[in-house]
Amino acid sequence: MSSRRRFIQKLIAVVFSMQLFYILADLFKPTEKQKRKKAGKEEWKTAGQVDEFKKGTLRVFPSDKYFLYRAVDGGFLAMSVKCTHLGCILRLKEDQQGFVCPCHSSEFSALGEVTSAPAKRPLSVFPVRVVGGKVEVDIKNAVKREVGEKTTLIYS
Amino acid sequence: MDRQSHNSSAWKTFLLHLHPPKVHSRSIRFTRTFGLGGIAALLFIILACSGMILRFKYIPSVVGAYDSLLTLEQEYIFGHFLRSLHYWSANLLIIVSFLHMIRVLFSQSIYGERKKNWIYGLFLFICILAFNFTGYLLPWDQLSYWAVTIVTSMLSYIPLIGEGLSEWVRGGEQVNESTLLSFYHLHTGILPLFFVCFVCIHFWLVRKAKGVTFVKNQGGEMLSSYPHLVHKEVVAALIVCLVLVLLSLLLDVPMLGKAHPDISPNPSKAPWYFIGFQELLIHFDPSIVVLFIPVITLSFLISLPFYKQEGLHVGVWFNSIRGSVAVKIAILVSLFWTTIYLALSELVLQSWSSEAGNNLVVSVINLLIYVAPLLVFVWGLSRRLKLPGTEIRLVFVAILLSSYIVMSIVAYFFRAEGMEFIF
Repeated sequence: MSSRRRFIQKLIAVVFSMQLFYILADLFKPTEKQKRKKAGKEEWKTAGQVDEFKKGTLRVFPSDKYFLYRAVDGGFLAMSVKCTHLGCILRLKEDQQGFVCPCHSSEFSALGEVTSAPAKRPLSVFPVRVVGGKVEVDIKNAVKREVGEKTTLIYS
Repeated sequence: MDRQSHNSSAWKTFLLHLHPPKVHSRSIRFTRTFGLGGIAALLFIILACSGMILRFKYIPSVVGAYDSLLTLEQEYIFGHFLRSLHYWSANLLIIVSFLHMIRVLFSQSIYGERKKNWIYGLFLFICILAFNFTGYLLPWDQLSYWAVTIVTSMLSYIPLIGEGLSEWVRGGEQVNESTLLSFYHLHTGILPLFFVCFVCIHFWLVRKAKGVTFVKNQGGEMLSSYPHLVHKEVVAALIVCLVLVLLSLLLDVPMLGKAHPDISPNPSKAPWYFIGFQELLIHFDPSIVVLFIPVITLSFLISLPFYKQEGLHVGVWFNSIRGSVAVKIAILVSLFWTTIYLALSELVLQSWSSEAGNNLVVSVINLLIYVAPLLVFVWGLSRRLKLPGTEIRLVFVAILLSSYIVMSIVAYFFRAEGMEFIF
């Protein structure tokens, strides 16, 4: 085979490998969530007045896809409604002190920690802030929590 | 030449493009192949035609999909029948092509120059699954939306690239408009193109290998394909069409409420051909189920034609009487053991796993509890029956298949709300 032909064949092989490599690398790239955080886009929605939320209760905000929990010590935690197992939407337990997934019966405590398999990771949380007596939740920047991470609540 | 024989000779010439002029009488026996490959091809043609008619009415967007199908079913004559036909042909195709794979494998038709065709065949089967999966989303009802959510979320458990991969397939963090559009394009554009090309190659490779395998030196004669083979094919095709028409007229195609991204139905099950995997997820860690098991199974299947064969009997079911006995025993044992294991898992293993932390190590132990007795069984069986390598590999395939079938049956029929086991 002529060296010219060999060169062109090698060139084509290199171009193809570069394309494949690019596709593969794309799979490793940060997900949309992380890119958005870096871009600094936030969307703070008002959940309500601080006094509206009784201590030790859970409230669901279906259209914004989060639960808001006010602990007995007054701290707030906003959690994603998506089950960390396979993405189904969680429901409040009957006793209103936790969540259950309709798909495979994973259960979570009111703080979003796993109390029953098959889910493994605790629920993702949204940033919460209290501004002028109002509780606000940044619904664009869910933060993934790892197993065993300590839960931090926000106080007014 | 009078008019009639001129027309029939045109048909004959056309058929001779697909068929050889003469075939061996033993190769066209019904029990040789059960016509499965041909039936699969016919089903694909029916799917293509019914699909193209459906395209007149179906709207591939979140706003229009569900309502366009309701309109088709309620306001157009034969609309319901058309959709049913498409649905039942699709499900029947999975079963028929799967049985075709089994027939080819167990009749030793994957060796020699048929090796390549086995690989192409496996790829075609994956295409069929992709067809069914992309089509499953299109009605955009609660059933499809959440089944696709679950299966794409399963992908995220693949280490390193999982999250990127599931977001890429879904076109976002959740199933959305772009998911629907991509799936529609795959289902009606890219996959049909690939599939037709590879089916042509598949057929051509069968011709190149001189047709269907059969046991040589056992009598029989060469017959002309027209009329002997063609008549059998026509009869088989007519029966298939009859069955499909009856199914489409008598049985209903599921159509739940319109997809509601805020409400997951209880339970949410994957389509029946993937539901065995969903059952596996209940028992083992996701990265084992989603990556390890499929990769091992697929590699094993791909490798089958490449081992050194001793005493290969092409065309003989299970390669020998010994093989036949071994496979049947293996199927029974595997059905039995898988059922026992599932009961064991429900009663004992799951609570033990939760207490032990439910991590990867626990899953591996659970998997070993399942696999080890089976390995011991295969070892004992091969010693007792003095099984050669080919038969042993067939035994493994039989075990894989029957255990997956048990898992699918349990997940489909015996799991209700919250995927609780019911009896």
